[in-house]
Amino acid sequence: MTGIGALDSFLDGTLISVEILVISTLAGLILAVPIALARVSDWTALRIIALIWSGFFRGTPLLVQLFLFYYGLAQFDIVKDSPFWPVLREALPCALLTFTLNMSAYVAEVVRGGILAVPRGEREAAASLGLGTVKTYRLIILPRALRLMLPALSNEVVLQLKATALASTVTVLDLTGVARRFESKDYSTEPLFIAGAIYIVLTFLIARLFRVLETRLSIPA
Amino acid sequence: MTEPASAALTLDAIEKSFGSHKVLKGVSLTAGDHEVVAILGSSGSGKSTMLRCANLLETPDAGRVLVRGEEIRITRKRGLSTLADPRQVERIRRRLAMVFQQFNLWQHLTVLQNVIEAPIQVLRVERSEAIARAEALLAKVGLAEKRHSYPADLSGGQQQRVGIARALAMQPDVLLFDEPTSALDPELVGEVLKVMRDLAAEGRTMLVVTHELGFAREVASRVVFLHDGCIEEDATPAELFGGARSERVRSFLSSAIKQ
Amino acid sequence: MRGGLWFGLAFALLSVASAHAEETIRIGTEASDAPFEYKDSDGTLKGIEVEIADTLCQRMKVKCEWVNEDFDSLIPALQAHQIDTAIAQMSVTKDRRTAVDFTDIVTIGPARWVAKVGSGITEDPMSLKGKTVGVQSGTTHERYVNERLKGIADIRIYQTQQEVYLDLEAGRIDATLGDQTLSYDWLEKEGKPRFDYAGKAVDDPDIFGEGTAMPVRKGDDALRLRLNNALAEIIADGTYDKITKAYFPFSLRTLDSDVASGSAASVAVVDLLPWGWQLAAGALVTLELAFASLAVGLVLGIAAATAKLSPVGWIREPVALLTNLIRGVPEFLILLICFYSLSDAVRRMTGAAFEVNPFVAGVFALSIVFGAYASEVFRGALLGVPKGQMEAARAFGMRPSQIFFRIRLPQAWRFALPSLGNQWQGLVKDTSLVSVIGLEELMRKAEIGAGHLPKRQFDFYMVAALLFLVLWAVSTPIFGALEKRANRGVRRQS
Repeated sequence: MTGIGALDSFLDGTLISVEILVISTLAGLILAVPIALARVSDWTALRIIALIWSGFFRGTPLLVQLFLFYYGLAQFDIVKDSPFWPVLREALPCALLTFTLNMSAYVAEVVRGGILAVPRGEREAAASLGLGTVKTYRLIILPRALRLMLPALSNEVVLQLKATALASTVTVLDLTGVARRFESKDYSTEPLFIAGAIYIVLTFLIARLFRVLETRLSIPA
Repeated sequence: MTEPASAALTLDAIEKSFGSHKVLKGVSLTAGDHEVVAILGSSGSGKSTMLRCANLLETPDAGRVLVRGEEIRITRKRGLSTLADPRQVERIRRRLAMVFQQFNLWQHLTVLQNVIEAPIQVLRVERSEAIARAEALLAKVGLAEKRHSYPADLSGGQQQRVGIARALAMQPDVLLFDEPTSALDPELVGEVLKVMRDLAAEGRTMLVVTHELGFAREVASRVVFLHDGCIEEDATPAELFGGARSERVRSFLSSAIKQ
Repeated sequence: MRGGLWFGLAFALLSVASAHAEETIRIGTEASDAPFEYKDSDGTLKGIEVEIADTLCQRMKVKCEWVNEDFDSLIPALQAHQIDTAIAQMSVTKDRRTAVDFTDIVTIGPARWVAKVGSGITEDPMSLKGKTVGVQSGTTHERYVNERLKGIADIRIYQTQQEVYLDLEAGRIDATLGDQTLSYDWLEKEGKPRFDYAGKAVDDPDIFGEGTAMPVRKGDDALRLRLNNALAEIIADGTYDKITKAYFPFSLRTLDSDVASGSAASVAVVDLLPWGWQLAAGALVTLELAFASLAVGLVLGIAAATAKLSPVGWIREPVALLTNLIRGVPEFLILLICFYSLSDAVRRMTGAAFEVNPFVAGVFALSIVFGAYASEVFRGALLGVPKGQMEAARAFGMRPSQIFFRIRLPQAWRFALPSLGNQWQGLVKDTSLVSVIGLEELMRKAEIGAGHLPKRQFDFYMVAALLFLVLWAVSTPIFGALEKRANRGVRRQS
């Protein structure tokens, strides 16, 4: 494994891993809010749909989901003829899609937890002041829930970073993919350890970032 | 006063600090067989600490502890006191059994299991014999029918009585009571005191840290008053309650009686 | 609680024992390249090279044990003494000769491109300009495209050749480079008439070498010579040709590029039901793996938690650091590291051959991960036991070990169980990762099935997913019951 060339590859791989992490987290977060709302909704049908979504993506291994979306969908001609095919056919976007949907289920649980943790009194106050459901959620519940969620969210993001390592199983050259490529060429485990070290650094940075966010967003007591 | 050599328990010039706060400033106490010693004092006077030095839950910084004449080996190095001989400590603790203010019954075990646990694990008593002993003791404290219940299902008074049975199961030389009724609702105090009175009447050696002045006056053979880490008075109940010499004791008694 | 622990440990030991049955010669292969080596619907190993190797063993009068691995795991497995030789259409190249020794050439299979008919792709690298190509990881074909097509074509690397074909059909790649004889089978079954060979065989002896042979450990001349002798024997007496002609109408020992599509024996068409049993068998392995890892992981977790609560600094700090590091690295990566470096390290330390099979590597990796997370759970749980409980035990003369195991730990379970339940669910899902290093658990079985029956990938993976869901669904009430039992004797504060 020669110096600069290897460094370059590792950098590329790391960037891809981070890219997957950031995009799937943001998109997952956006998706997670309606799912969470559906989970706590009064309509049974909505609740059940959200439960199935949540149960599927959280209850089955990510590896199976990746293979399902990448190899499984390609089996169907309707998929191949659809306008989605150009996206699904590339490994990275297809993997991104899977990671996003997967993340949405986990983050939905966190958001749900945050919503439920908003003190009942504050909700009742909003109701008694005549704010409709939508406004109540937008102005009172969600902002409050966001701050309550931050510790659990930071945990999910770290877990998601580790999940991105699976992208290499569907040909994406992320950090783990790069390391495996080197390993298979030289039959040495060194590149795997290097990748491990990089993940540790990234985990540390994420934890740090969230701590800063928590301080910035916290309401001075 | 019995000769210290064969006394059940002797504390000699015990000092104990927690951090910078000196709790015991040199207390001495001897308890002979069949004596019931009540230990009184205001909060923070060091009563509990003194008791806990007796069964070595706390290690004194200075002074000696003797059980039946055997001195506890303590190493003092760099300001830290540690119990030198773990085997000796285990042996000693078998002779002294404690009843706690918060009962400290083992929550995951039934009442019966609580009473047989230490005899089986520490004294290596046969299980069947331990059970027989336990059932007899539970009957004695009036809780035989609760033996398969869990501590959480019992009232405070019932739990404390189980605590007493658990202590008795070790067949100790000395029973140590650390404010046994302080955590109880007033109406439950009586049932526990009754058991303790019966034990005293049987001739058990007991050391009782308590706020129950009635008990101290009627049951104790000796009353010790602790204030700010020192023993102010060590006398018979008659002497102490009749006309204590110390001003502090008198004001303590009068304020306590007023309640 | 303790019963469950022993149960799990017993499982682990049993599996280790059964997987370690000592046979005379262990032959590694990757059973996903029909018709050279593949598994049919009831899991039996079949194929030209399987027959050849079995015949060689007969001639050498030894017993053969077959070990299924990923292709790029074969040489490491050989070096790690997990296998003694391998037969998997492995090309003899200069690079590989530095790592292993080879027997005489077993087959000659030229490398040839396969692409959509009319694509205009030939063996000339420039004809692939701007196209996307796919190859299998660890093969000479991967090396060829990496070195000769760098900057010319977009390169995709896959775990198995089956996955390459899937993506070729899906249109994600334009062409794939593989052994002419291996592609023949796929073309006959699936590829034609939309796909066919593109151009002539690629001539690059530096990379592709002189043909395929069986690798042995460097210096293992005894085995190498015995294999050579047996090989020469079966070639001379016509057994070799008899085996290969049943599959291909041409010889496997010449460089003839003009392959007539002819009456080759086609792999029997399989139906889905036998695969159901395969998946069930895989699910069983998944459970074994999960329970074994749970048992070991719990022990590690409790031990680490105790260490993290120790007043002794040089016990507490390193353990805390170690568990934090482990929790910062993807489980997948930890698994790969364990698999490739575990046997290496022990071998270097003790000089003795240490054998690791995928199941053991899986248990090792999954239990350290489980233990690292569980240590935090137990740490909190142990701290949650009221101090008075331990104090009473101390006062009655119980020894520290008695206090821990009889008073503190039993009460800590109550606090630990909810989190442990979540962790268990994660563990069951993580067992699927071990499929990547070749363990035939549920995920791997699904992959094999999907590779075998091309239009059924979705079905296989969906069924696998649902089976995992079933495992998840069944675990939840079990943990609920355990929690109930642990909470006996605790009155809820009303």
